[in-house]
This record gives sequence, structure tokens and C-alpha cells, in this order.
Amino acid sequence: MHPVTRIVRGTIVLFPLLFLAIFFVYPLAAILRLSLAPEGVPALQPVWEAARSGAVWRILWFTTWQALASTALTMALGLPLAAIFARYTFPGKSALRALTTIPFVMPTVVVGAAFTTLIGPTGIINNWLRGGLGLAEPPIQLMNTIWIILLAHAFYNVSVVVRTVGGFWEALNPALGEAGQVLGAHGLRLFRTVTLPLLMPSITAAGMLVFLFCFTSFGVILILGGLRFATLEVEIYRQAVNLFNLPVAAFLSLLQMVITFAVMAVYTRVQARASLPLEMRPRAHAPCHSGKLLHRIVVGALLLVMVLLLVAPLLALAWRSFTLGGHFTLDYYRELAVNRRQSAFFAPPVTAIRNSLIYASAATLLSLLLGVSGAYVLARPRTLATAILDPLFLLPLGTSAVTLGLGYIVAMGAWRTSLWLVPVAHTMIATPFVVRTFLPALRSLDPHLREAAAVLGAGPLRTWWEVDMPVLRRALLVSAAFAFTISLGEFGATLLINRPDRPTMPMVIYRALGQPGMLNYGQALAMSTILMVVCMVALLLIERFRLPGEEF
Amino acid sequence: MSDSLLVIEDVHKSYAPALVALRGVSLAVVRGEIVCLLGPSGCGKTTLLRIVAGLELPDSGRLLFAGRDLAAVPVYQRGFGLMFQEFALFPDKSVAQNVAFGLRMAGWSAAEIGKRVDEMLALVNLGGYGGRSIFDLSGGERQRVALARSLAPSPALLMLDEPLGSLDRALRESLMDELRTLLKRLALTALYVTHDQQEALSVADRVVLMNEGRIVQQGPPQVLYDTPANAFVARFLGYANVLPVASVGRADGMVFVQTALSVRPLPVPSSEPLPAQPLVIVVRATAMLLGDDAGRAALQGAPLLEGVITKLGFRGGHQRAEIAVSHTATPMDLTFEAPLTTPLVEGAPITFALDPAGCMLLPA
Repeated sequence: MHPVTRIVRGTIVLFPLLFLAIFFVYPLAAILRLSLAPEGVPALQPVWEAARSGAVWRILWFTTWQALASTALTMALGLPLAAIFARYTFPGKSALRALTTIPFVMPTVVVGAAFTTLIGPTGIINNWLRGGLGLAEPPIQLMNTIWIILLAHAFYNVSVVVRTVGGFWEALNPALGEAGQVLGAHGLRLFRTVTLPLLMPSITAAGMLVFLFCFTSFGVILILGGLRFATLEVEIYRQAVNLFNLPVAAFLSLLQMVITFAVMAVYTRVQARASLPLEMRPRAHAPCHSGKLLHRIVVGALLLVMVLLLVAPLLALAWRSFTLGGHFTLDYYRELAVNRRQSAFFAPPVTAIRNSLIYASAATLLSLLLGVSGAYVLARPRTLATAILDPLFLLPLGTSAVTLGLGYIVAMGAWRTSLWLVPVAHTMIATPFVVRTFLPALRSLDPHLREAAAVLGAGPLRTWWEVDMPVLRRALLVSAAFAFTISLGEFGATLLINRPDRPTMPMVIYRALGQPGMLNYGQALAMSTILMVVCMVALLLIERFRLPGEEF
Repeated sequence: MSDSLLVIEDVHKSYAPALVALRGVSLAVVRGEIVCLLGPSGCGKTTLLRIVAGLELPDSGRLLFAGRDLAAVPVYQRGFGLMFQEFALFPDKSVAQNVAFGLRMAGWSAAEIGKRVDEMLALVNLGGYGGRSIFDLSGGERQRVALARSLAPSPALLMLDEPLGSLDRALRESLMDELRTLLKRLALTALYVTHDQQEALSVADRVVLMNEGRIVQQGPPQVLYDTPANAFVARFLGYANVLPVASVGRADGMVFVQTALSVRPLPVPSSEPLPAQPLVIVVRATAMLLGDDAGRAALQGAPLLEGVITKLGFRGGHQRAEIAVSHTATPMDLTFEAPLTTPLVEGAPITFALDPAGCMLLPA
């Protein structure tokens, strides 16, 4: 092998290994050490004390049941929708399917702000009801209740069910159902005996994924739940930042990691079963039209609920950011450039946009470097490096952002206030998505194409440019858009490690939402709207260039 | 071998201790010659091709091209052409862009490239297809594009790896002759890998038969077919009747071979000296003698055999009969070709003799 080629290959393997070791494994190990051996020697005293206090178990109990309740609500909404997408054709189907990508790119602060503008005490629905009914009090009191948390979780996760279960259902071979009919089953019995058993692995997998997302929920709880509710994730943040009780925070992180990794391990198994090589048919085959009127009404109503859930909060947000007392105004946007003394920002809010863009650009670049080199390693025949990297690249998905932030605070010493640590944290969170977008594209590349190019006179670099790049360009664009929006919207880790004088857009929105005053609120809405629009643009890019068969 | 263009000297290659691909292969290819590497899958023929192309490095041995050692020349600087079995056409590029690729790599100007691409597409009867996507082509058309792409830069050596392997049989047969005509017209030196003996015999100037990482026999197609070196070659070239030999004796200038077919030994034309033991006897499909011919052969010492026609098939110009020989200890089948005029009936008994001229004694 040519020495230069060898150096390039070595770098491609070593770079992701080193990066993950320093910025993922080491911080998590530091958390482990802090909770099990705070003074350097193993001591179970702090853990024991934390475990004996009822507070921990109350928080764990709340975290678990709200996640279960959220999953149940999500399934109740998502499964009928999955059935509709799998079994019926209707006008605007592809547009509605594209809508289901929204939650994947929408930052929690934006969703938080959006839900307050829709159903908060002074939200659009309450104002409208009060105006219409002449009430003194807002009739819908959901703010800071469990209901708004469940609703926001449903907003985020119905898409997961529709996309995974619906996609699987749609691809099921209709001949299986027909075989069942020929053998004498029909209607509900056919569904129960033939379809449901086939769907079960994918339903279980989707349910566990939803549970996992809700179990580690942070921004939604913090913004919409108020002080009354704390999941493990929120409590880690409070212990670390408000009370500066790092050992307890570390213990909670450990507890959460153990549970999420256990669920992840089961999920991986179930998911492998869900992708059994069943007799599948191409998606292009059109399912049936809904014939009966009753069918049409039920289908239409369910789709309306989905559109309302996904679109209404975002529209309310945009609308409120442009109106004051019922009139069109750009004041909130103008105020973003002004530094007012009594405002919550200390600096003109536009600087937050600049900060966010800088962080996001750096994080995108870094996660592309890391994710692409990682994907190249994983795409090669199994070696020690791939065996180590494979689970490592997926673990960040199961590790919460707050835990990662806490790990940096605990482990990074003098670096922990460094500005570059923020894009690094964002990179850790975005990289699994880059790897997962890239790997299928890379694996779809026929190795003979590279050989053909080489035989025709293309050197290694030229081959990469001529053969790999055209196939990977789309994946590159999609993963860049994903990384960029993930970084722009990242909230948990940023809140822990970013310096207050360099706030990002989500930090500014969070602070402003917590401050009294119409102006602060309006600025938060304006900022949220800007963030939403940027994420929508990214979403359009993703939907336009996504390769078929990629799911998250 | 001063006029040899490509010289392969004692090349070894293994992928793992238990996975040896080549066990010392030496071969010389003359300028303008079409050499077919023929053999069953796993015999090392594709590995040899990939080593010549530079896609893999040999563990030991030497490659010389026009007298120059190829060891230090990377694949992209060898200036060879290679046609892949699945064609490996670039999916994001049009037909013309695929054909132009090698020319671009060689630094041709756009005008020259355009002219050459048109020439090449005309050569493979795809004139006017330049703008098409490769997804709009049939299998045969893709094969032509792949051929045009490897021919465009005028390679000093063209390699073809099962170039007709992914096409259906009818298309394959029509393309075989066309391919040979084209290669000969362009006076190309070609290394052609195939596992199909018929393809190798129709396309090659010289067939190199490989098995288990070694060259078993090589020569012009006719020579190889008429005088296979051993039982493996005979079986691989399509001889159906290869029978073990119990013992061999000589009398009256003939060799008599004892087989399980009959009590009396079979006469075979003398060959001096006898090949090394153990031996097999190969009976050509045309060696069945019936009626008076069988009687005449019996007078000269050939045993009369009895059997039953178990299967009779129509094969275009002739019929093909499978005969279960009677009175043998273990069931023995012989397969013969007979003119359509010969009255054969499936299931009927048959008495026949073997033409000594149609029998060969070979090492097992």
C-alpha cells in the first residue's frame, strides 16, 4: 500500500476513535467515577444516601409514568394514522407525509413557545374562547399541568409511530392478507390473526423508542411543566446548575444511563426482529381508496387531528410573533436588535443568532468529519475498529444531552468554559444521525465502480471524487441539514456548558419565556419563529434529498 | 518468448492460509492474441485477472508488460481496460459520460472526447444512445456500453471478466461471435475470463484451463478439445462419458482396456507411451456404433454392449440418447448423440458397440 494511502486510512480510523474516547467515553467515565468514588476511593455512601432519600424514587416514578402515559397517548393517535397511511390513498398524502418530518427538526424551545401561544393562558385559543364567551378567566388551564407535557410529547412522537409502523405496514405483502382471506379469515379476525402478529415487532419497537424519548425529555418538561414537574433529566440539570450538587447529579445520570441503555439493548433486539426479511413488496403499489362514506369521515377526522397537532402550534407561534393587540407589527423583530437595560438578555438578542450560527456551522463541519470518517470505517469489513465504533456511534442516541453536558463539566477541568466545547457537544449529539444517513448510502456503493474508475485511469482521490461523491452528495446534504438543525436547537447540553455571555437562540428563548413582560415574550416568539423558519428550510432540504429507506 | 506482450511468472496468491487462490501460475500472452482463462468457479481465474489489472497484489511472482515490471505501477497507471461481469457502469452518468470517463482521466480535450465517444458508440452499434441514462438500457445494451467504455482509451491490454455472464443464453450465443470479430478487427490483446467452455472455445485463440489455482492445460480450442490432457479437462470441456479403468493390456498393436462395462476389454488405438496410472477412458458422444457397424467392430474385438434407452431428447440437428448399460455390477450410464435418422425409441432395449477411434485413454 502506498505510504500516503496508509496515512490517510490510519487517520480515518484513528480520528473518530480518539474523538469519541475524549469527548464521549471519558466524560461518561468521569460521571461514573464521581458517583461511585467521589474522593478517588470507592465509596458508596453518597449513592446510598441519595438512594435512601425518597426524592430520587419519586422523580424516577414520575419520569417513568409520564413516559408510559405519553407513549400510550402517542400510540392511541399514531397507530390509526399509521393504518391510514399504510392502507389508503388520499389527496395530499405525500405532503402530509412530509409534515411528519417536522418534529424531527423542531427544537424543543420552539415547540414549547408554540404550545404556549396556542393553548397558554393568553394563548390564541383561550383569548378566542374568552372573547367569544365573555369569560374573565381563561377556560383552558393546561400550562404547567401534566396534560400539556403529554400533548407536546405526542407532537414529537406521533411521527415516529406513523413513519416506522406505517412504513412497515405499507410494505407488507398484500398476498399475506389475501392468503388469510382465502383460508377463511376476514374483517377484524383477519387483522387480529394475520396482520397484527406481523406488525407486532414494529409496534413494540416504535413504542420503546417513544418511551425512550419521553423518558429523557428535558426541554418540554422544563418549559411547559414549570417547577412542579421534574424528570430525571430535569433534576440532573437542577442539581448540577442550581444547587451545584455534582455527586447527586452524577448519581442521577448514572441511574438514567443504566435504564436507557437497558431499554436500548432490548430495543435493538426488537428492531432487528422488525426488520426480518418478510416478503415485502415495493412501496409504489397503491393501496386501496377508501370507499364508504363512514370510512372517509373517520379517515378525514384523524388526518385533521394530525394536521392540527403538528401545524396549529407552529402557525400560532408565527402569527403571534407578528401581531400585537390584533394588529400586524414587526416590533418584536425590531426589538431583537436593541439592547435594553431591563431586558433579560444583557446583549442585543441578534447576537444570539450570530452565536448560534457560528456554533452550528462548527458543529456541522465537525460532525460531518466525524460521521463520514466513522461511516467509512463501519462500512468496511468487520475489524476490531468497527467492533468498537459500531456501538459507540449509536450510544450518544441513548445518552441524554444533559448527561453529556454534566460529563463535560465534571471531566473537562479548565476547558469547561471554553467556547469550542459547545460545538463539540453538539457534534456528539448530531454525529449518530450523520452516520445513520451516510452508512446506507456508502453501503449502496458498488465496489466494482471504484475498481472500474481505477482501471480507467482515476487515482484514489479522483476515484473518490468521481465515484463516491455523486452518490454521497445527497447524503452529505441531508446529514449536514440534520446536524445544523440539531445544533441550532440543542438545549440541554448547551444550557449546562455554554457561557451566559454567549447565549444561543434556544437559551435566549428560554430565558425570555421565563421573564415577565409582553416585550420579552414577544421577542421570544420572534426568535422562535426565526429558528422555526431556519429549521423548516432544513426540513425541505432533507425531504427533497433523503434517500428512500432511511429512518431514525 | 521475445514477442510476448504480457508475461506472468510463477504468481502465488492466498487470502488466508486455508484460502489459496493461485499456486504458481505462469503464462505468456502474445500481442494480438485472445487468451481465455477457463475454469470452474473458485479456480483462481478471476484472481489472476485482478492481479494483472493491478486491483490486487500477488504474494509472490512477477508480472512483465512489454518487458516492464508492473509491480510498482498502480492500477490507474497501467493503461489496461477491464470489463466487469456486472458491467459496473457509473449510475449517475449518461451513456456518453460513461464512455468518456477513461478519456477524461487521460486528459483528452472535450472535442476529442466527443468525437471518440461517437466513434465508440457507433462501433458497438449504439449510435445516438449517448444521452441516455444507463437505467434505460437493456442488459445487452449495457454490455455494449461497458465494452465501449473499456475500448475508448485504446487499452494496451483488454481484460474481460465473464463479460457475457449476466446475459441470458440466447443473447450470449449471438454476442460471442460478435465479440470475437470485434476484438480481432481491432487487433486487441485480450485476457478473457469465463466458466463457460462453449464461450471459451468460440472466442479464444488459446484456452487456458485452470483448476484449484493452477493451469491444467492450455492450447488452441481445437487442440484442447481433441486431446484433453486428463479426466478433469475432458469433463470440463463437456465429455459426458468418462469411465474408470480397471486394467490395461496390449495385443496386436491395440490397447485393451478393462472397464466395468463388459467382461471383454475395450479396444482403444495405441498410444505410446501409456499415460501414468490411474487411468480413465473417455468415450466421445459420437462413438456409438449400431447394426452392421457394431457387427464389424465386434469382429475386430470390440465387445457388444446391451442396454436400455432411458432418455431420448431432441437437440436440433441431432438426438441425444442416455443409455443404461445392462449386466453391470453398478448402474452405468452412457450418453450419445445420433443422427435424427437413426430409429431410436425411449424405453427400448438396444445393442451397440463402441468405436475404438472415439475412445481416449487419459490420466484420471
